[in-house]
Amino acid sequence: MVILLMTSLLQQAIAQDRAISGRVTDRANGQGLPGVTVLVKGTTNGASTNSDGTYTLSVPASATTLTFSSIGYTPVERAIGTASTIDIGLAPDTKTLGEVVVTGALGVQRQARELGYSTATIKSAEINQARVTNVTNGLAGKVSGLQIQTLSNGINPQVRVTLRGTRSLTGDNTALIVLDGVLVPSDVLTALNPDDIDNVTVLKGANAAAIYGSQASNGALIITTKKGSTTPSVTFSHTSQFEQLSFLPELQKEFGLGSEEYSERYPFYDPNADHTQYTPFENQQYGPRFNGQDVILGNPLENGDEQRFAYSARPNERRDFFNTGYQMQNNVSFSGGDDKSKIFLSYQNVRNKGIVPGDVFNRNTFRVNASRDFNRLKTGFNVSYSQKKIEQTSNADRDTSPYWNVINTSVAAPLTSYKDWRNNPYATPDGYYNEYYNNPYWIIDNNRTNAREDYLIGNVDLGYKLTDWASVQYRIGGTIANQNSKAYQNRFNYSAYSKARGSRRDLAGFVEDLNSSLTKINSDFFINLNKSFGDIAVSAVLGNNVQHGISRFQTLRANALASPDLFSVNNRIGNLGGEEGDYRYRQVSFFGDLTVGYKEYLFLHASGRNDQTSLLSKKNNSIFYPSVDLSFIFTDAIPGLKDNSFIDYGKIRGGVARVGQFNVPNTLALGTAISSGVAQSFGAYALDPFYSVGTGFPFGSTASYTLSNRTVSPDLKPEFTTSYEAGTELAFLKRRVNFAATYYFQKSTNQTVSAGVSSTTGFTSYLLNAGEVQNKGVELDLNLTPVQMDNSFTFKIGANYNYNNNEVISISDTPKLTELPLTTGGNAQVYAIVGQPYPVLRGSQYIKDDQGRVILTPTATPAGAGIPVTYFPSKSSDLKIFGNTLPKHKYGFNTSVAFKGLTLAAQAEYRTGYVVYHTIGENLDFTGGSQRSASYGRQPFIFPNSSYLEGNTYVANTDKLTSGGAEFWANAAYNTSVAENYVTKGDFFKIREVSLSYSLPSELLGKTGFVKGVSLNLYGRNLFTWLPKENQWTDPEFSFGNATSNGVGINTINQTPPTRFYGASLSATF
Amino acid sequence: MKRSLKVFVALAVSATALTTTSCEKFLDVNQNPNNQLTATPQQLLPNALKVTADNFGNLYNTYGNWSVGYWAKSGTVNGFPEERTYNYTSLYQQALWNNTYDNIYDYDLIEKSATAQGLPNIAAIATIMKAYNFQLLVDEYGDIPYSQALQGSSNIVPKYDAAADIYKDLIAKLNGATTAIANLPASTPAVGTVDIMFGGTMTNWAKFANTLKLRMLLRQSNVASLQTYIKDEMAKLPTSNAGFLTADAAVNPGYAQATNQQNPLYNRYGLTPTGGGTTEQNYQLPTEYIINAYQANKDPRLTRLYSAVTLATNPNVGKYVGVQLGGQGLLALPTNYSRLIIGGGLLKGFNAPVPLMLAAESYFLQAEAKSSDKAWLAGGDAQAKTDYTAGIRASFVYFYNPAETAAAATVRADGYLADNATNPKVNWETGPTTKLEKIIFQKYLALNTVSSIEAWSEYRRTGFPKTEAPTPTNGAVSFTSLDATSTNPRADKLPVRLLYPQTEVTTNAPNIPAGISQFTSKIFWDVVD
Repeated sequence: MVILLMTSLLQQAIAQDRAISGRVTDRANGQGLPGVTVLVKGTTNGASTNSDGTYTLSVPASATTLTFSSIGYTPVERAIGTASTIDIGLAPDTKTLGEVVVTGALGVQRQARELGYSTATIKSAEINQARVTNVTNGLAGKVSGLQIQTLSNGINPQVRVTLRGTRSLTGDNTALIVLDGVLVPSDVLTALNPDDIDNVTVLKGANAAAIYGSQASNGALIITTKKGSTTPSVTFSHTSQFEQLSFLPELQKEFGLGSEEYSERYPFYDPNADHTQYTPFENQQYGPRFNGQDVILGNPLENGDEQRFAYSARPNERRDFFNTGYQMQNNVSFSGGDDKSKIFLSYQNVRNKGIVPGDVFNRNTFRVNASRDFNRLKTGFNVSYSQKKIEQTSNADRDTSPYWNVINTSVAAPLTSYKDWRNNPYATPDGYYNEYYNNPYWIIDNNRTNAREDYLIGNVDLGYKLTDWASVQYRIGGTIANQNSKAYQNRFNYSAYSKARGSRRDLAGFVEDLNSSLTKINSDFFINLNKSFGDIAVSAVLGNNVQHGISRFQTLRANALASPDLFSVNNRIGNLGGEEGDYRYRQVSFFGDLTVGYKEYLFLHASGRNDQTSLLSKKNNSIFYPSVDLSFIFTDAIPGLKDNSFIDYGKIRGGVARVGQFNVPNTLALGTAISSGVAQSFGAYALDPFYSVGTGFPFGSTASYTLSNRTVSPDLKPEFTTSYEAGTELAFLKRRVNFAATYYFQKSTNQTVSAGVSSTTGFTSYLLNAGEVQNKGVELDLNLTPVQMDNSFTFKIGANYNYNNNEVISISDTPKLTELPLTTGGNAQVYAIVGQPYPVLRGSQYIKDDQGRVILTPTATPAGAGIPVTYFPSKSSDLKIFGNTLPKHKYGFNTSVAFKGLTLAAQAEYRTGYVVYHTIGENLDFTGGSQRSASYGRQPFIFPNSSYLEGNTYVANTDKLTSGGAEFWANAAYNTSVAENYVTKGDFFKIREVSLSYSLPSELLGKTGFVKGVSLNLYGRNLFTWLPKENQWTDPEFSFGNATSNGVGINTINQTPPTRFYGASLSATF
Repeated sequence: MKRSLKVFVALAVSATALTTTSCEKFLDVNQNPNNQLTATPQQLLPNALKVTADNFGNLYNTYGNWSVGYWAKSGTVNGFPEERTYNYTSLYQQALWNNTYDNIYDYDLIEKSATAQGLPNIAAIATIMKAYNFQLLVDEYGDIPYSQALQGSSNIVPKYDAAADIYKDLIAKLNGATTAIANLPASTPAVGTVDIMFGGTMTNWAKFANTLKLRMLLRQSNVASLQTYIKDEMAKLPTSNAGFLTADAAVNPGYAQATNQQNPLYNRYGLTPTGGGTTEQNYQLPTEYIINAYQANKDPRLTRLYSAVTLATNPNVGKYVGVQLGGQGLLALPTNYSRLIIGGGLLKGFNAPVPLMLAAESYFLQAEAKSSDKAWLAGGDAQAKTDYTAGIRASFVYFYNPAETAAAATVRADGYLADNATNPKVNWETGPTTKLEKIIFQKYLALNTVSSIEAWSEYRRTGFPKTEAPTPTNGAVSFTSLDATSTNPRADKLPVRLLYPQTEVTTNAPNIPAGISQFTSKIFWDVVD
């Protein structure tokens, strides 16, 4: 039906007098300029260019001249003559820079010059230059102060979006997402077609976003989708992209299977000999050095067959396990309309086969955006429906993680020969060499999670112009998300022969079905007033906002399957398990916003908002907060600067805002369920302790309950962030040099803290108001155009920088709390600690002397066995603070070279000033797979920077040896549980994007008659990653937990290795 | 145009009117539809008892199994650093502390609401179970929060009370509970099946309370300053056997072969509900020491508890081979050694009840209190010998159940006594071992992997059963780990307590006692080296 509609509109367009088409480009970079108004001079007959700058216009025979105009560019007139194709490059208008329109809060358009706070707008072309599938990935490194952190790889990666550091100790710190004026859950980002997006405006701080109320302290991404245009056009595009593993941790290639410790070589101990014993079925790699001899691998099969192989390293096998991922994007969109009606339709299919064999992501996105003006009434609606299908290895733990099981496979094993686990006798679970872990190929086929998610996102917008200076607007929008997923593990019964050895146990399998849904409704009603009184212009907004959320999840679980290969709870042994949760919340707000401008160069803006929530007690559920800011265009105000040829534009701005956040923990009452999918609790029902069903109950007809472990302050209040910012925006030398700088300072107080309390109270956590966090930082943006020639050759270069430093000022006085753990369970954890940056990594370390040398103590093991005394370090009971886990310094770089239709663009990012913890390191040292575990050739060594006690003093160690086999490297007490061994700088430099695009000249296309634009784009993402030498492990961006978790900075083995992408995209507009 | 304005205004007004006119009501949606906010004592009691069984039968038992020499690490796994080195950290066994307090809080709720609702029987049960759990905590940690504990947010930094004072108060509380049970008003509704330990039989609760009190009094028996107090309290105990446990006090909520419904120890170290081995099944093996304790004394329980080596290629196939904790050169496959029999006396089955206190322990406690060494309970050595024999018989009955009848198991016990008629470790009369050593040794054999934490406490109190400084060849007579890195001056090198948990270090710092060492900071009743 979509196709039918498009063809009929096309025919309509062709049936007119005379067609002129062409492409409007930005002279600065050669890229197509969308939204340029093309008019037949002296008439209202015109069109606007679409996303790649192309247009088509039907002109009467009498027409002689076309005008091209766009805000921020110098208008151009061009005689038509007999041409049927007119291409034009527009030059930026240095004087009208301040008139750039920014989509601000509530979707209300503002001139950039009015704004007393920092914003940045990224256009579609820039977001999509490297064909991202998640729009946020297209923003990485492009805006100062914005941190896009991809938490893992894989086919559907989670992305954490934060602005200006983190403020809330336990609440959400991620940016608010506003789509076409409507607040949406951040999950929506994964459901959007990036090609549908016209632009993203980043409101960096509380000052800009205050009008959105609770959570606006985190800043906001204002996403605006494309509208139709007056020139009908159809665009097809196709992208093919390849994904390739970029690096694995540094793995040793010298030693094979075995788990022996030195003591087991007794009584033949000889530090220089290699007496370790080869254990053919071991997962640990502390066996003898490779020697190429023919040996058995694994245990003999039941029929007596033995797998023999040359005992040597096969270093490429693990890499070869991973596929080259392939992603295909197909897009078709239609844009059309007339001066009263606009319509934009699009469809996108993304099919992504990941680097892990069998992982597939499939997304179909449909969008209809339409608007029509009926004289004073403006109507519009935007609807997007997105369907995601994700089929992947469960990757839930060490037994189901493909990455871990591949890097835990011995470098000797011919891993890729085990692909056919059904038929190859040495690849079946019974015949596989590793007694303790399964064949990774078996794992990926038998531990699956299949999910289907549907998103319906839409809004209806009605505006009515009451008078010249007053209008009312009503907008209701909603997000409906539904998820159905099934996670399972297959049942497998080992042979009696295989089980008799004692280590293998039948796998019972399980299946868990999840149904979850989330509905968020957002309603805005507001009145817009704009009136000038002489030199004074006043614009005001008064409005009401209502938010309503409903969410629900249900799980159904069979803990054991009756027979293999059927993944239904009908096929089960034992009881049917499951649970459910229902959640509701509401919020009602009133707001006002006032801007007073004086002579177009001085603007005072103030806003106020009152929120009332269902989440807190009646006494504390209402909050009011104000903001005020000032913008001063000094280049317009000071006569001497007005026509200065050096400085084109200069603004100073400053503001202060206070924003509340209803931070009630958004946790669901999850019992055994693996995941709750898209469901959210919104923080509902958190005030009262409740009784939950005791584990295992009901036993028969006996039901029983236990009290929850959280107690809540009866007086729980919202938390507040007060934010100050001041900055400047400058343009010099005919806008060849643009500079912006902002300093900000934020203080978040009265935080809602879920404090761990002594379990002797009867509870383990206590939710109360306490805590103060302070963030301060600087954002700098510099954009240069060193070369801009009349023949359209343009060279641009830009850089942005963000310094953010934060500190936990206090946590709680009663109870006296100076720290708050944000993660639990490992050797290093992420905390909030008073006086430290937030979040901060702390973990175990060695016992050291006063000069910082690791103290070694002599150990004779086994006692009196004739083994020379060996010296070991010890783990200290004091934990060490390693540093903050969010970068203090972030640098973004971008450059482009354009000539005619050819554009080469690149984007890079450097982050530094933080640390990360690599759980993967301790795991790989334990198994002996890491290069680190093969240090010193596994021979006794002198522990670096160590000392030992002689008499009463610690003396530098120059000759005492530490034994260098499994007894050290795999030992928790001496090595693997000492966190400082695996903490590295988080620094990285990544070439995020490189793209080379070429647009066919329209003279060429003009001859075809109906093709308006063709462009080809070759690109790569994450092509190059530089890491400091000490980071032998993985991408420091990776972090466990989900996108809203504050405990960032620890990566795990349940991830996929870092990858790079390269691809090509072809787009044609008709 | 006029009409469209009207339509617009109507739409906008109706949308906002809903919110502005009845805002209070509109926002009143914060009632939890997923969980109940109140619960009766009857709704809380079964879970509280089941959790005590989980904690005692799994967590305390596991810790005791490692520390008192029942278990050692197998060659399958590389780990258990604290168990092997005694180099404890505040993270080690944190769950004992946290889970026990969590459980005690539920008993506290039950005690309060049962009292308020006129259910003195349920209140007495809760009182006794609080005492039972607090005793476990004191025995591992010494001074702990008690008088200011369990007050929720009204006191989040409870101060620590002296262990000896807590013991005294617990005994007073037990006295109160037994008095309450003896004087229950006739109108009191029966407890019924929500009592998943005694099925509502309150006289059994009184026996349990008495035996618990006897255990706690004997635990303090070496403290010189408490001798008069102990005698006074002993005098309040029943004079006949019938006042103490004569059957195991065991929890059974209806354990079943289903997820989260199996016997907790079996669920962790035996088989999963689908009959597969559990992950941890292969991580531990019986020690040479415990194998020797049965084998060297012709004890038939050996074959009921452990299997012989099954791996055909092992030269020891068919023999009983234990391992030494921290031992060298362990073979990876567990079938090279003796193992706990699945379905044997230790890992009986998914539906086995969890004993919180064995009848055998009741008899051994009475034997000690009656024997002429102490003579705190009436009866003298003759009655003590009867109790001693009854204790051994009860242990056989427990371990052989359900494979053999009580009568058959008793015959086996008597055979064992006959076979050891001149063995000073077993025979009541044969010297030179003291009566106390015999009683504790037999208790050690009876509590194996069932009530291991009590064996560990009794070892710390009495120094029995004897163990020696470890060498790579003396695993049969020493249960101390070869990897011990101990500053304990004693030959056994063993720790004497647990360290306060990290959760307490971070949340109750102002009150937590400083300078605690797992080797030197003894529990108040641990006065004999």
